[in-house]
Amino acid sequence: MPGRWSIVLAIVPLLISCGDTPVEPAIAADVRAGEWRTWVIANGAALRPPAPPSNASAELDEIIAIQQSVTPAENAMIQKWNTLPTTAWHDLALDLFGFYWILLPDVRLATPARSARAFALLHVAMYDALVATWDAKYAYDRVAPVRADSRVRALVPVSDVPSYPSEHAAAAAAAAAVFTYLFPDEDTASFSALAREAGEARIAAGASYRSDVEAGYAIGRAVAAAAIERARADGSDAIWSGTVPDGPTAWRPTPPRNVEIPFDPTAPEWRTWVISSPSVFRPPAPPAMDSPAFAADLGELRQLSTSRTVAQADSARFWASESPSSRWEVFIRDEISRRDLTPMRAARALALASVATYDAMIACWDAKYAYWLMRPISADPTIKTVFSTPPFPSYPSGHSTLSSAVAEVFAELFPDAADYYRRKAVEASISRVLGGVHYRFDVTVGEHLGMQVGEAVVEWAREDGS
Amino acid sequence: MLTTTSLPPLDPQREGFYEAWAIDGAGRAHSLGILTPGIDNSLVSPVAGVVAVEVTVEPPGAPDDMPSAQRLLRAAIRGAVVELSIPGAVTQGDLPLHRQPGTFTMFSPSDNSWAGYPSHEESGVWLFNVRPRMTPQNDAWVRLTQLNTGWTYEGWMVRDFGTPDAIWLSYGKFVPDQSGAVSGRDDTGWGPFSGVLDFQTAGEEEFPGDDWISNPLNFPFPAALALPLDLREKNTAGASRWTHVITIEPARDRGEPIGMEQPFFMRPYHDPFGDGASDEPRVITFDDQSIPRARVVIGGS
Repeated sequence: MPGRWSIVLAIVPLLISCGDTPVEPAIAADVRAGEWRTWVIANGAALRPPAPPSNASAELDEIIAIQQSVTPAENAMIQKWNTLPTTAWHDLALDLFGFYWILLPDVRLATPARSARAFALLHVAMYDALVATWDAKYAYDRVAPVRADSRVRALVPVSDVPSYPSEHAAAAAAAAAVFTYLFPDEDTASFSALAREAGEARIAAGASYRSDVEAGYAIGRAVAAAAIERARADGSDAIWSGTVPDGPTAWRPTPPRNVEIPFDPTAPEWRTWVISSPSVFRPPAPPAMDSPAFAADLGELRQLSTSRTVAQADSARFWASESPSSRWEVFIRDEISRRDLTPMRAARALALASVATYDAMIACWDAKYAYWLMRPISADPTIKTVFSTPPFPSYPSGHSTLSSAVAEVFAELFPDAADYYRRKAVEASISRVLGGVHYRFDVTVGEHLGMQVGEAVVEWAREDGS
Repeated sequence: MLTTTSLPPLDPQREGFYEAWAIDGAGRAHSLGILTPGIDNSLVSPVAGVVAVEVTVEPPGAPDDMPSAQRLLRAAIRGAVVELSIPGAVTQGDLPLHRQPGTFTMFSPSDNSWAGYPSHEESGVWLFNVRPRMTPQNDAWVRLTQLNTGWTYEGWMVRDFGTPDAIWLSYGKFVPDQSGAVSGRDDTGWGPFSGVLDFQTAGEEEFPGDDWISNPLNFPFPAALALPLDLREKNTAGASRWTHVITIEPARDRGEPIGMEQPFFMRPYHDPFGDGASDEPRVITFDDQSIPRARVVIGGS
C-alpha cells in the first residue's frame, strides 16, 4: 500500500572554493517594492522593524570568523541558498504536492481546490514578507557586510540591495510557518531547520548580518501569522452537512472508487483573494440531458472510447499526473528562472499566478455544486476513460477554469509568451475531454469562466504599484 | 525445418510443451507437431496454401487439435526462409516490446504515514512514478506493450537474480491499458505481505506493486528471507542483491497460489535495484536475450 515518505530537496550545490569572490552583479533593485500592494498585511510598512544596530563590528567579526573555517559542506549549504528567496520553498511545495496528489489525492491536502489554496497561501505569505522586507531595506539602507568591510568575502554574488532585513530569512520564516500549518503531519521540525539554514547560509556568505536575518525572521513570522489567521477563517475547515441531490442528471459516485462524498463541497463558501465572491462569474446551467448539445458532447466521448489514439491518451495523462496547480507552478518556476527575475518580481509573479489558480478553482467549484452535473461515465457507463473519473461534479471543468485563468496572468507577466501559455491552457482543457472525464461543454464553459477570473486578477495586478 | 533460438525446455508437468502450427488462408490452424527446443525440427504441413507459421505453448497433458491461447511465435510465409518472432503472437498487432518502458518507484508501505514514522519505504516497490516531471514518460505510469489475451506481465523482486539460489517474489500479474499505460492494479492488490488483511480489495491505487512487511495470513514465504525486506540489501562485494524483473507469463498462470508463483522464461526487463532513495526514479531497461525466436527453412531437409 502506498504511503508517505520523507521528501528530500535535491539541490545540487555549485561548489565554489572559499577563496573565490564572485563578481557582484547589478540586480534591479525594485527600490519602491516596499510600497507594492500586499495581500495579508496592511502594507509594507506595517511590519517595519526598528533600525538596525548602529555598531556592527561584533556582527562583522562573527562573519569573518565563520568565513575563516568554511567546510565544503558549509559551502555547499551557502551555494544552495544562492537562489531567489522563494525558490527552495517553491520546490519543496511542488515535491510535497506531487506526492500527496498522486496517491489518492489526499482529501485533506491535495484535492484540486486545496492544492490551489495551499500554493496561494505560501506564495502570498512569501510575497508579503518580501514587500515588508523591501520597505525596511530602503527605510534604513543598510550596506551588506561584504560591502561594509573588505575582510568579508562574498561567497556568493551579493546584490546592491540593502541587506536589512534579510529577504531570504523573511521568506524562509514565512514559508516554514505556512508549511507547518498546511502539513502538520509532516516532519515540521524540518521546515524550521530549513529556515534556519537559509539565514545561516546568508550570514556565512557575507550577504547578511545576523541582525538582518533576525529581523527577516521576525517579518516572516508576522506575515505568516496573518496569512494563517486568514486561512483558518477562509471556510476550508467547514464540515459539509449537505446531501447529494437526486435526479436523472445529478452527480453520483463514479467507478472504480465510488467515493460517496465528493471533494470539497464546501468550497463554494471559501473566501477568495481577488474575485468578489465565488459565484460572481457563475455560468448558466449546463445543457439539458435531452438537448442536442448534450447528446453531441456525450457522443463525442462515446466515439473517443473506441477511437482514442495513444497521443490523445498521453495528453490526458500528462495533465492528470499532477494537480492542475502543480503543472502551472512548474511553468512559472521555469519562467522565473529563464528570465532571471528579481526576488520581488519573482515573488509577485508566484503570488499572482497562484491567487488566480485558487480563485479560479473556487469559482469553478461554486458552479460544480450549483449544478451538480453527473460525470460522463454516469451518463453512459460504457464510456472508457483514460484514468479514474475524479470524484466531484462535472460542470464546469476545473482544469479548464484554472488553466485559462492562470494563462491570462502569464500573458500579463510574460507578454512575449502569451500565445504559448494560452495554447497550453487550451491543451490542458481539451485533455479532460480526451481523457473521457468531461463533456466538451464542461471545458468550453470552464475556459470562459477562467478567463473572467484571470482578467480580474490581471486588473488587480495592474494596480498593485509594481 | 524449424530451428529455435532462446527457447528453453519446458517442465512438461507444470508448463506444458511447444507445438508448431501451419495457418491456412482461412485462418485455421493445423498442427505441425510438438517441437523440441534446441534441435532442428523437421515438420511436414498436412495442408497446402499455408500463409503463416506459429508456435504455441500448450498446457500440460495430451495434445489436441486446437492451439492454445499462448501463441508464442509467429511469421507470415514470405520466401523460403521465415523468421518467427513474438510480435503478433505474444504482443498485439505487430507491436514490439517497449525498449524504454519508463521508470518506477520504490517505496512503501502499509504501516507509515498516518500510523506514524518510521516506516518501511525500503520494503515495497510500485510500478509508477511519484515524480512525473522527472520521467521519460512525463507522467506517472510505466508503458508496456499490449499483450494478446494468452499472456500477462508479472512483476518480481528477485534476490540474487541469475544464480541457482535466486529467490523470486512476485508482486502480481498485470496488463497495460489500451494506450499501453500500466494504469491498473495487479491481481494481488496491496500485496499478501503488506500486513493488510484485505489486501486484494483494499486500496485505490492505479498501478501494480506490493509491500513485503509482514505475513499475518501465513502465506508460504522463503525461509531464507526475513520480513520486512530491505530491497536495498547488498552482497559482500557491495552489489545490490535485489533485481526488479518483469516477466511475460502465460495468462493461465493467473490464480497461482500466493507464495508459489514461478517465473516463465521470458524476462525482457530486469534491473539491479540499487540503493537510491525511495522516491528516486528507477529505470526499467529492456534485454532481449530471453525473448525466443525461430527460423523456418521451407523445403529444407
